[in-house]
Amino acid sequence: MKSGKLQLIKEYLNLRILLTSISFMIGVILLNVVVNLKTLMYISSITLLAVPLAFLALAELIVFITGEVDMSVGAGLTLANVIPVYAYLYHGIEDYRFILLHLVVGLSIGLVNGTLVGLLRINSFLATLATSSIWAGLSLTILNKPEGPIPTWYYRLFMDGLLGIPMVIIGMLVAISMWMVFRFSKTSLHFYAAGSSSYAAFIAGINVNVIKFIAFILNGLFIGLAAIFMTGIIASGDPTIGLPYTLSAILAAIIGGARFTGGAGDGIATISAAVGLTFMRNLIFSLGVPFYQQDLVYSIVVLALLAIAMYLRGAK
Amino acid sequence: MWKLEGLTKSFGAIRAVEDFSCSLEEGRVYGLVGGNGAGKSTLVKLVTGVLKPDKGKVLKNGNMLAINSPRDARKHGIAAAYQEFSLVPDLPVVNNLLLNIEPVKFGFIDIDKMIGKATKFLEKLNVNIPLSKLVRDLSPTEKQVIEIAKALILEPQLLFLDEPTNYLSEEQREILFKIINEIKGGAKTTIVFISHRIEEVFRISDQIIVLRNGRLVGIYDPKRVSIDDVVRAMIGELAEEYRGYKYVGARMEAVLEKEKPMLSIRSLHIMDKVKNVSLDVKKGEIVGLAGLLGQGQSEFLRAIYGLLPYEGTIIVEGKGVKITSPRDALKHGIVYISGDALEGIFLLRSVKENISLISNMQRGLHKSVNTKAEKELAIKMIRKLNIACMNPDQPVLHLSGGNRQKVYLARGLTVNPKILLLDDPLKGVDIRTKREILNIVKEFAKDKAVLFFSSDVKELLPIANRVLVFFEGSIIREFTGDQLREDLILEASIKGA
Repeated sequence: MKSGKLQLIKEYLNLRILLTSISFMIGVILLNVVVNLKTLMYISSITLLAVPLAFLALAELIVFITGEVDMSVGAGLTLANVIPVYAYLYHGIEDYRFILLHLVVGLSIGLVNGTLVGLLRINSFLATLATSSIWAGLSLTILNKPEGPIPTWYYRLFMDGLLGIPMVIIGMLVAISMWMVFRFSKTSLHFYAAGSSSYAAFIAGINVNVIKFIAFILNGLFIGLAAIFMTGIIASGDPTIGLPYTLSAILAAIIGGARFTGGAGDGIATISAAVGLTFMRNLIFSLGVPFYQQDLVYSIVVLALLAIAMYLRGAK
Repeated sequence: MWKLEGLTKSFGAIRAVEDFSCSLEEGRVYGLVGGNGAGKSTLVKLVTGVLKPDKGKVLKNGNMLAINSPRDARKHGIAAAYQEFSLVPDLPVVNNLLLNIEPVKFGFIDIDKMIGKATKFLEKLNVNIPLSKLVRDLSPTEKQVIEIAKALILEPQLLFLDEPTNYLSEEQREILFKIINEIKGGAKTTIVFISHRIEEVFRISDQIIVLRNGRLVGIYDPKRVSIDDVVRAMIGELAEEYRGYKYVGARMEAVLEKEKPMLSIRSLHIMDKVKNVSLDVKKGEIVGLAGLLGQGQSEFLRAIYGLLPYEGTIIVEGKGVKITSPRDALKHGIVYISGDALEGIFLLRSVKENISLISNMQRGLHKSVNTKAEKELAIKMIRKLNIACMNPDQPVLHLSGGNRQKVYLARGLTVNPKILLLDDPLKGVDIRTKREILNIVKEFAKDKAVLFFSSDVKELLPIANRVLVFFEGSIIREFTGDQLREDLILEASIKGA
C-alpha cells in the first residue's frame, strides 16, 4: 500500500483519539477486574450491557458531526423499547415484526427530529429537548409501568446467542462495521464538511440542510438498534429505562472526539468510550455505593472525565 | 460566450452592484479592478450563486441560466477561488480538493483514484502539500494554493479568481500565470482575474474591467492604455460630499510639535499580515490609516487591542506595555471600535446598559450598579453624540445602523481613553451620521491619540493630521499637509508605491 493512502486512512481513523479512548476503556475494565476478581464471563456480560449505549452514542455522534445535537436519544430509546413490547403483549406481534418494530420506531423518531432540524431549521437543542419530553410522555402513556415478558425466542436469543455466537459479539460487530461502512462512504465526508464549515460545503454544492436531515435518519436507525438490544437485555418494556442514557451517550461521543461545533468525532473511539462508561457505572456499583447515590457519584465522575477530555484536547 | 445582464444587488441602503452588464468571450482573461467597495467580490458571488441578485441574469451562448446556488453554477461550468477561501478546516487536503466530486467504487470512496487525481493536479501546480494533512493545519499560502486548485480541478468554462495571488510567492505566481495561459488557450476557459496588484492585472489580462461604486466604468485594452489611465478610471471624479470641512491639520501641527508620543509602535509583526510597522501618535493627533481593504490595517489595530497575538513593542506614554487581551488594553487606556457594531453591541440590551458597560465593569463587578449614575451617563452621551433613540431603556436592536455605531462609540468614550483605535467605523453608515461621528471624533481627539483606519479616504481627509498608506502589511507612504489629497492617496493605495 502506498504511504499516501496509509496516511489518509490513519487520518480517517483518527488514531490519537482512538488510542485515548481505547486506553480509557481498558483502564476501566482492568480496574473492574481488580476490584471484583472476576473472569471473562463477567467482562462479556457487562459488555453486553454496553451495546445499547454504544449504538446510542453512535446516534449522538452522527448528529454531532454535522454540528447539531440530540437531547432526545435516551427518551427515544425508551419509546423504541416500549412500543414493540406493547405490540407483543396486547396485539400478539411476536415474529420477525417484533424486531422490525424497534427499527420502525427509531426511524420515525429520526424522521421527526430530522424534519424539525434539517428542514424547518429549528435549533436542534431546543427541538430535541422538546421531542425528548414527547417520547418520554408517549412511553408512559403506552406502558405506565415496566411490563413483560417478551417473546420467548427473543429472550432465548440473548441467553444462547445467534447460532452459538453471543449477542455481545454480534452487537459490537454490527456497531463497528456500520461505522466503518459509513466512514468510508462519500456521505460521511459531506457530513464532516457540513459540520466543519457549512459555508464551504454550500460552495461545493452540498445541500447542508439535507445532510442534517439524513444525519437524523441515521440517528434514528441507531436508536432502533440500541432498543433491539435493550429489549433483549431487560426482557421487558420499561417506560423509564432510557432517561439517564442521554448524558452518557453525549459523553461517549465527546470522548470519541466529537465537538459541539461539529466536523469531528470517531465512531470506534465512541464505541470504546461507551464500553468504558458502562464498566465505570458497574465499578461504582461494585464499590458498594448505595443505590440512591449511584447516579450522583456517576455524574460526578462523568463531569471529571469531561474536564479531562477537554484538558487533553486543549493540550494538543 | 458569457453574458452578464443588468446584475444588481443591494445590502440594506447600500448598492453593492448596480446594473452591471458585459460580455465575456471564450479563451480570454478579464482583469476586474476597482477601489474599496467597488463591488468586485459581490459581482463574483452573484454569478457563482453564493448571493442572489436583486435583478439581472447570466447567459451562456444566449441561453439564460437558472443559478440559485453554487450547486447550479457548478453544473453550468462556473467555478471560483474566493478571496476569503471556501475550505473545510476539518477535512484533509485531498477531500477539500475533491469535495462533492469524490470518485466512488461500490458505494465507497475510491481512495486510490482520489489520491491519484489530487497528486497529479498538485504536481502540475508544482506544490508539495501532504494530501492527508488537515486544512486547519495549513499555512495561508498552502490554503491559497488549495483554494485555487479546488476551482481548477473542476475544469470550469468560466473561472473567477478573486485575489488568488494574495499569499503566493513570486515563483508560485509565475506558475499560476502559466496555468491561466494554458487553460485559456487549451480548454478555452473564460477567466475573470481580480487582484489589488495592478501591474499583475495588466500583465495577465486581455481586457480590464473597471468598477467604481458598484457600477461599470469601462472596459480597457491593457495594450492601449497605461496603468495611470486605469487608476484614474478607478478613482473617478472626486466626491463633493465632504466639502463642508476645513482642513484642521495645519493649525494643530504647531501645537503637536511639543507633545511627546502617546502611543508608539516599534517593528510590529502579526503573523504574515503585518510586517515591521512602526509609528508614533501624539496627544491630540489623529493618524489616518488608508490603503485597500485587507492590507493588514484591521489586524494592526486589533493586535494593539489584544485581539491578535503580535511580535514587537507597544509603548504607551513612554512605557513599554504587554497587551494580550482587551482587558490589558483597557487598563492602559486603549479603546477599540470596529465597523461591525454587532461585534461590540448587545442588541437585546438597552442603550443605557450598552453605553455604561465598561464604566460599570471598571467600578468593580462586586459593586451594585448605581442606576442613577448609569442613567445620567447614558443621557449625557446620548445628547453629546445625538443618538436617535426614544429613551435610554430602548433596546439597541430598534436603532438604525448609524445609531448603533454611535452607541458603540459612546461606550468607548465613557471610559475617557487615552488612545482610540477606530477600525473602519463608518462603513455602511449614512452620510449625515458619518459627518456627526467625524465631528465627535475630532472633538474628543483634542487630548487623545487616535488611529483611524477607513476604507474610504474621504472620511479621513477632513480630520486626519496625517495619513499612512498600508500595502501588503507595511506602511508604504505617509501623506501630510497639502499632500493630503484623495487622488494622491488612492493612487498610492492602488499602485502600492
